[in-house]
Amino acid sequence: MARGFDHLFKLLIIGDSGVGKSSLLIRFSDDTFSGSYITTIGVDFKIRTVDIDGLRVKLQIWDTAGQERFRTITSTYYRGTHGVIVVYDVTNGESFANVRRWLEEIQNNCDVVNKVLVGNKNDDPDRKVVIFEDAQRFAKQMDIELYETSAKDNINVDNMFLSITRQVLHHKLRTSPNEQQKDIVNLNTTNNHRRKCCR
Amino acid sequence: MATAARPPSLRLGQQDLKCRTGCGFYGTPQNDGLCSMCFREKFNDKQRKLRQKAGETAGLAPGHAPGFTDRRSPQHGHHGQGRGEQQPRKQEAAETSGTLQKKKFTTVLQKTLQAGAQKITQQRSHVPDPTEGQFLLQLRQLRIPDDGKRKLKLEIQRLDSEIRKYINGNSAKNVDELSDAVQNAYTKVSDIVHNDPSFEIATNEDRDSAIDFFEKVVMTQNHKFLFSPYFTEDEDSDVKVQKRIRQLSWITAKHLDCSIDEVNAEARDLVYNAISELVGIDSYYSPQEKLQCTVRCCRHIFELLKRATGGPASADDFLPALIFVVLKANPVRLHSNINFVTRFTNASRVMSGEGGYYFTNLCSAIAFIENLNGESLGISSEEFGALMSGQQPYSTPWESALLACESLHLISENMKRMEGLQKRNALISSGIASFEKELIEFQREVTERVDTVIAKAPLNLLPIKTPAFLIGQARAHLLSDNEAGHYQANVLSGGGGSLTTQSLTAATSLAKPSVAPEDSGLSLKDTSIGSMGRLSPLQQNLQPADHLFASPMFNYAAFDAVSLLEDPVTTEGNDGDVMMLGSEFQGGLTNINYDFDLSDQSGENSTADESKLNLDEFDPLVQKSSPIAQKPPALPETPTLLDSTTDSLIDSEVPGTAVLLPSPLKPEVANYRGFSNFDIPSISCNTGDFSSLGHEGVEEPK
Repeated sequence: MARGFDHLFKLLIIGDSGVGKSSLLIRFSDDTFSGSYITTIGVDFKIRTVDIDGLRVKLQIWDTAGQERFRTITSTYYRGTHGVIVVYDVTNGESFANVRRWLEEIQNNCDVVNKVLVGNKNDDPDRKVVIFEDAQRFAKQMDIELYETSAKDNINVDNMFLSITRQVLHHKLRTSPNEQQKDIVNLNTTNNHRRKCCR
Repeated sequence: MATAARPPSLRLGQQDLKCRTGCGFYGTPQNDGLCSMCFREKFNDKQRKLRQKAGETAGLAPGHAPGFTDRRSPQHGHHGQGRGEQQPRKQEAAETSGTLQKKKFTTVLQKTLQAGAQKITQQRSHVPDPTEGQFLLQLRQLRIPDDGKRKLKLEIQRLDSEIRKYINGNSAKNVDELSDAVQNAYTKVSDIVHNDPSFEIATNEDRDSAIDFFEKVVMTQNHKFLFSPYFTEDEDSDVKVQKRIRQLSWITAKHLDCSIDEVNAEARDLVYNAISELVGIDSYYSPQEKLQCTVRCCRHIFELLKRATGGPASADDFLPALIFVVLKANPVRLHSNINFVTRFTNASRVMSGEGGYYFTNLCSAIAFIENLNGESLGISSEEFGALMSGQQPYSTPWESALLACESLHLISENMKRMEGLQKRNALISSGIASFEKELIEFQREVTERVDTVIAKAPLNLLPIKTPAFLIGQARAHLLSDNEAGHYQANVLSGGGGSLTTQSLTAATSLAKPSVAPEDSGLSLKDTSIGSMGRLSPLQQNLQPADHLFASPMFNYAAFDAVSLLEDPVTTEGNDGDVMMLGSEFQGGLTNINYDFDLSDQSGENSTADESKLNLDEFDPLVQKSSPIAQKPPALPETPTLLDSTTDSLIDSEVPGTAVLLPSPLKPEVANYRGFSNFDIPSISCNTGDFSSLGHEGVEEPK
């Protein structure tokens, strides 16, 4: 296909302010990686194409503002989102405590089931306050995959993004074309008329 | 007013917006520069008449109604709302707009504000339309098969008529239904483009551009029906949010925790760029263009943040900055634009892609503005309330910078000028300093050189040494002869030689060997002294006491008188010289020093008679002619000196010491004249050459 990709997914990065959402994004989209990366538009609007199971998947990753005050207004970002990446800071206990609220946010705004939990800034053991086991237990409880990454040292970043992409892709491939509508955010009555954004 | 915050390019005077009748409300170009009320009143009668006449146009009327109403500015909407009759008025307008449509043709030409060609032609969509022609051209340029083009055109017409039918229908209208219809049409077109056999050979890019084209054409053609339709609350929302933004004008970048430097000129420029793009959203017709405008706006903000933070900006920085820009821009018809895009653009467009991302951010920013409270700005709710109600005075850097902009600009200009002046001033003062230094250096150098020269050749004013035997002789002579005797001797010498003169010459000849070296030394000194040399003979002449000695002898006027009388008859030869000498003494008869001069001349005369060499040696001895001996090289000077002295002597009979000076000159003139003669050259040449040689000897080594 001349299109350059087989699938187009929109991913959303959420999490408290300062946990390193943008760093993860920049690390992922600007770093050289096995997949071909197409273009970088703007700074926090990143597009990258990766190969998964022989399929070219174009990823659009939307960064969001994590400040408390903007939490109520970010619902619009969830429209048409295929996967959500919830980020916390392993050196900041509060950001981990807020993960539950972020997950609720996702629940309220869309029925996307593809999500991944990311403990960022995992590069200094001395400063780490969120123990992996605790996080793992919580992730299991919430039925969500956990990754500990470091955008600074480029640890696990690509793995994490590939994981969520694979998850979204498999989810999509599992659902028959008729059921695909469920993938799309149920926004309003016009939903069933909308052109599918991913093929 | 919101306009104050906008860049100059979009600035309009308040007066330009006001109703022409001066009722105080805002007018619109569509209403012939009148506000809607005045416009309606003015044309009410006319409309009624026209409606009766042309009943068939009334059928068209409702279709054009939104086109009329939606073009009212938000301020206008506010005004309408203030009267609490917005909805009824709209309906009335809908009924009458069949005629309004005609009026629009004339008023449309007067439009100046943001009126693109599209907008103008848009309003005449029922007549042969340049925009339509343009679209047809674009359709032809689409790289899809002709069969596909035909289908696309058909779909466009179908959706077009569907929208108009819905708008013109009498059933209760719901914008969501309309939106659904449009979105359905998009899906259908997308299906056709991607699955229809006629599009088989087209590439994906061509298919996408075909879909984009479809959307653009339909939206542009039906903008007037779909943008802020009269059956929605969009206009109210516009007014509400505009009012709220106005109330929130006290918000600063600090409240929002964003890194915009409100007073930095460069940052302000970028904010202005973002603002003008944001305001410009309203001037575009198709949702795509509006989205592109949003993207441009956001890129400016990113540029701004990149400079402010010195690195890639994140959404944590971006959203507050966007909110700040929206607050300062206060764009017109904000909700209408947002809703238009949300409802009628291809749904995938706002859900993905860069345009979608920034549009989503813009929606979030607006949502934040509408819902913000003291807590979300980090201030107490009491303070928030006070600021919102205007009870608490405030000043924001943004506004004050805006107000102070002109003066600040002036200040910065002046600062620049001052800087330039300061630079030049510094240059001048440094130049002055260096010049001063140079002067001091020069002075020092000159004094040094003069000092060295003086040290090398000091000016020694030696007392005149008259050989002791001469003094003794003279005294003896004076003593032996009485005054009369001396007088006689002078007379005798003046007459042409006597015993006394002979004895004197003898004495000088005797003294010669001892004096000669002194003479050469003197001449050397003279060269070094320069200007002093001229004065030296005078002093030297005056000082010697033995010369003054003879002063009492005033009475020998006879000789002088004779010589004076004969003065004009200056002839060559020795006799003539003697006569000339006499002439010089005309004024100096009473002079004290006269005696000395006379004696000297007498000697001269006597030597002239006997031997010229003797005379030559005689002069330096008396130290009278030695300085003057240097004169001969400067030939032109001597005559002038002569003239002046004679003049002064003749004119003023006041005897003075200065008079003494010329007298020794006389013999020189005699010598000089003699120099022209063949007889004499040896005399003056000897002295002149001798001294001049000395000059050269000193000067040439330099």
